[in-house]
Amino acid sequence: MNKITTILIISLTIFMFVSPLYCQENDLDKLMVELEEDYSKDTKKINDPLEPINRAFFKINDILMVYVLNPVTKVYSQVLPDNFRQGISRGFNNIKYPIRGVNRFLQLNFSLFFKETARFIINTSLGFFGFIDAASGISYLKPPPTTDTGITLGKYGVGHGCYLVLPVLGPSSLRDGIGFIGDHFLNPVTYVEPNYASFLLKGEDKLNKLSFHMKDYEDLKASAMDPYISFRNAYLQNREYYLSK
Amino acid sequence: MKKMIFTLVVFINLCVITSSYSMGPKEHLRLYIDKAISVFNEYDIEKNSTEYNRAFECRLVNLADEIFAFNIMSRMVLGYNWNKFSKKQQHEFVCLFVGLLADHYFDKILEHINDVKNYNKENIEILEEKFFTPTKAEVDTKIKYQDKVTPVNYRFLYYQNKWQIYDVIIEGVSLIKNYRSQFKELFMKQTPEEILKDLREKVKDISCLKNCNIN
Repeated sequence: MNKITTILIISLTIFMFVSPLYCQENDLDKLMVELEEDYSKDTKKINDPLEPINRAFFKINDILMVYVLNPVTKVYSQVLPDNFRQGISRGFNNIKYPIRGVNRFLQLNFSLFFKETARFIINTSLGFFGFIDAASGISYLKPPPTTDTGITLGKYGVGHGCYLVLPVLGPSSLRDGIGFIGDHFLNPVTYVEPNYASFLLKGEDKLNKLSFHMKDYEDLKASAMDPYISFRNAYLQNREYYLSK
Repeated sequence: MKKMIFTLVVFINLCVITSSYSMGPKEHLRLYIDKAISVFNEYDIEKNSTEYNRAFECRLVNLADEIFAFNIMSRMVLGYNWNKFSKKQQHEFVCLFVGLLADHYFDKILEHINDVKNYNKENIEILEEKFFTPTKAEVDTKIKYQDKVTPVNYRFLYYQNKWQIYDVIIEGVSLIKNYRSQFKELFMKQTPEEILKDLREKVKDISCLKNCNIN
């Protein structure tokens, strides 16, 4: 009995330490087939019939980013401290509540509609027009995922149509481009008079946001084998993510 | 005496079996986040020099090598195009791809070292873990940086007796899917050797990586 136990234990020990070496190659091939199936069926695509034009706009936008906006955001970031820029960002985000509120209502997502509305009321009154995110002090009122008219169209089954690179604005799609027009009319800043003041405020909103994301843009571009495809895919995946929220 | 040896061998076997399964992906991630934070905290800004920084980057790459399934990630970004490479080219591709990730993700930590040195549990919140199959899971986290909270999900698989990361999804953008889309189009226009040539030009240094003495 003792001999049998010894043989069993020795066999088990040898099996545990030696078998992985023989199984690895075979297991890896099986695993790769399984992962390949997961990722093939889960990959969304976007039509890009205007690729040559889109690539041209992508290059123009890149030149604008590298030679104009990059130095401008650097100076901007040096002049305005981080905390102040974060406050500006929160303030603009608060003003743009109608974009999120109306779209959450149209999406029939009343829970997020009420959350957005409560956040707007608290941040406008107690948070100095949104400069401070006072609502986040209540755990239920932490910032929900953002939304816009393009996402609402998507929720009603409208597809992207085709991929577009808009001058200055960057990656978009036919659906989201139309959504952008909706967002324009829902943004209170659009109605600021005179017109140039509205234009300047929107410019400031973009510049302030960019001052936090310039490095992200440079990093994504530098790490890509083909930056155009990388940005197109990142845009598509990111929009799918918010569509699911 | 014999009984004692038996007991010891059985005990060791049981330890090996249970230890590899007891630590789930969530605990594994927490362990490596703690390890990474302690490496960040050991960085001495006053010793800032090219050699010192290189050694620091190598420590991070080697730490990442313990939890990331780089070999599997490299195969996944190529999909079925993996078989278009020869064995030697496959090995070189893995090294260069890891080098590419190291150059653009791990190296960036040095640029933000002052911020990441102060990282704690408030900045990195580990949320739920979801199992797709007994050997595939996803751990959701939230990373707070400069007032912005970014959802970052890590996909794990149980391979070679441990949980390893095979994809990172930042705000819905999967790293693997993003590179897959790029390599898929590149293979339509370029030969495998041309793709490797582009990668060699892009990756500055792979000397930190074990088994990557390509030349």
